[in-house]
Amino acid sequence: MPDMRFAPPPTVRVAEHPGGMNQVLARSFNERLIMSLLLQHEGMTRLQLGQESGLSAQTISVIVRALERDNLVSKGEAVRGRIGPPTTPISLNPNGAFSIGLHVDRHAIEATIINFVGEPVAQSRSPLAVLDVQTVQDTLTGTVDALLSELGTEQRALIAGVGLTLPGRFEAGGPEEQAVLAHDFEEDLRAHTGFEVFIQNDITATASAETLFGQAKRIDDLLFCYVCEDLKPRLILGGRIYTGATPQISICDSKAWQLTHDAIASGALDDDPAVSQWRGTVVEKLGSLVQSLGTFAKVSELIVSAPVPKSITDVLVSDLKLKVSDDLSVTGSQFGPNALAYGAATLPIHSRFTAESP
Amino acid sequence: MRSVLCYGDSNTYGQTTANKPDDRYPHDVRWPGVLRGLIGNEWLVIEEGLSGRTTVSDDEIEGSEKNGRTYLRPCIMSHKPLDLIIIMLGTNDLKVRFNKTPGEIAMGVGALVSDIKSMPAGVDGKIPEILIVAPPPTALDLKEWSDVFLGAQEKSRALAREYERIAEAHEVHFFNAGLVVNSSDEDGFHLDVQAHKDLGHAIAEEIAAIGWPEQND
Repeated sequence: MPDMRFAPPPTVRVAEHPGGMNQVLARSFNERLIMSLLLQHEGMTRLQLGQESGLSAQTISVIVRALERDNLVSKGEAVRGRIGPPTTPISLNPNGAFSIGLHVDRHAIEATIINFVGEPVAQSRSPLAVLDVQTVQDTLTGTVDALLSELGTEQRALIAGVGLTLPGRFEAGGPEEQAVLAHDFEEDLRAHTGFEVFIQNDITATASAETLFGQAKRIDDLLFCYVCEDLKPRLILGGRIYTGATPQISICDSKAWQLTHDAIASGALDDDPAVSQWRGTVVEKLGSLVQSLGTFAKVSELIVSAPVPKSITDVLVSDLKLKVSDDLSVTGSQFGPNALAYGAATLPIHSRFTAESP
Repeated sequence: MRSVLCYGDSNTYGQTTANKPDDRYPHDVRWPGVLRGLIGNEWLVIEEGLSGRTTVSDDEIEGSEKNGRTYLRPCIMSHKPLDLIIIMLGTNDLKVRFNKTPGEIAMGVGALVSDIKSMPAGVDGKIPEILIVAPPPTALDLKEWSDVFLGAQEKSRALAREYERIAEAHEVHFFNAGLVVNSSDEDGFHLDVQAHKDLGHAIAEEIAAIGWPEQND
């Protein structure tokens, strides 16, 4: 038996072929910790990474080299400050990984592909003629195939996985709708694409996307609220999303929501009665939700997301600012009408590359 | 003031490329001197280069004092406390008399790292940071040294990969000097003036990239 202290070292994980499958290997916890920090702060030096993570300089050095080899991070230009030595910031490589998001809505499959820093690179919406298992199944696979065809071979090899989101329930759900919620689309997609599939509730996923790429990047305590025909809130405390039973507060019925949505799509705002009533109810109910929340948990941030153009979200935000107290800061999501598919797309990135689980 | 020990062979000593064995570049031309010029206001740069130094072997021809392992401990003890130790060795291990594969040469470097880690030679009894530098590959034509370095051309091209494995296994910093400099064509394995300058600059950047907290004194 040789002295194992002098055994040959294990082979380094080296990307022999650029764009190879290396990045889909599970990353170590420390590597994910470093990537979480880089997702939160653009361009950090190794010193800063060490201070934030508590890892030693040499461990950081080894991790950064491993991430560089797999093209997940890129070394920035050395910055020469007035005092002290030059520092070289490290950033995530936007093209180091890609992720597919699929959201099953009542009427359509919304899909998006994002890159490693959360920029959408492809999007689509495929209507569902009926809501049943077979139709959803066929539309999901067709949508994925169409999206993948927009990527080059190299980018396809860098797909981290498929995120799939479904609502907690469908309005007026009959047996067909129940069957859709119960069906294992995860397995279908895994078999069809060969990618790992991650599944999550739609609102929880988009709220978690806000903490990863959106408005809540550096905020630990906040209330996130998705607004459509219902208010769908998620409370995030200490950076963690509460995923237990969450109230769903009705704003209007689906028919009224359809009218509102159509009116918004046609550009109507104040002059449309459906829209102004929707706005009014949202502000009233969300306002009182915030107020009652304030009696037992102090959050200083409210983030509002809705499947409407950004201009409408902005109007909602300014309505809300008038309603709530000044020490609550209200912001609109930047993800736009595709926020749910975007949330789905962040699931694989969250699970594979960060130290937290969504 | 921090201190860095540059532990190496003739290419750290500053042996000139021309075939004049006693010739040495002036202190500000060899790479540790270039480094001193760049970071000398914050760092004490200690030169410990010896021509013919191997990683861990006594040299039956050149003498046992070329063994990089036996000299490492007294050398570190003479200079401690140290913030950083840079090891750039391995070129002499390519000599055919040592009959080492690239992987074994790297393991010799690993043995030096283990030795350093066994000594509390850093500040406040800590272990210093360690930076392994893979030497650049030899030139393809090794002139009158071709026999001594039989097969070194190919082996030297595999060193960087093997050194990185060792650096990974020991969790230490790593830099491939072959990324910024080539061995001189004049004798095939020494660095010329420009290479010393480029290497000094690259090492200065590597040291900065490690990241050093503010010192309180």
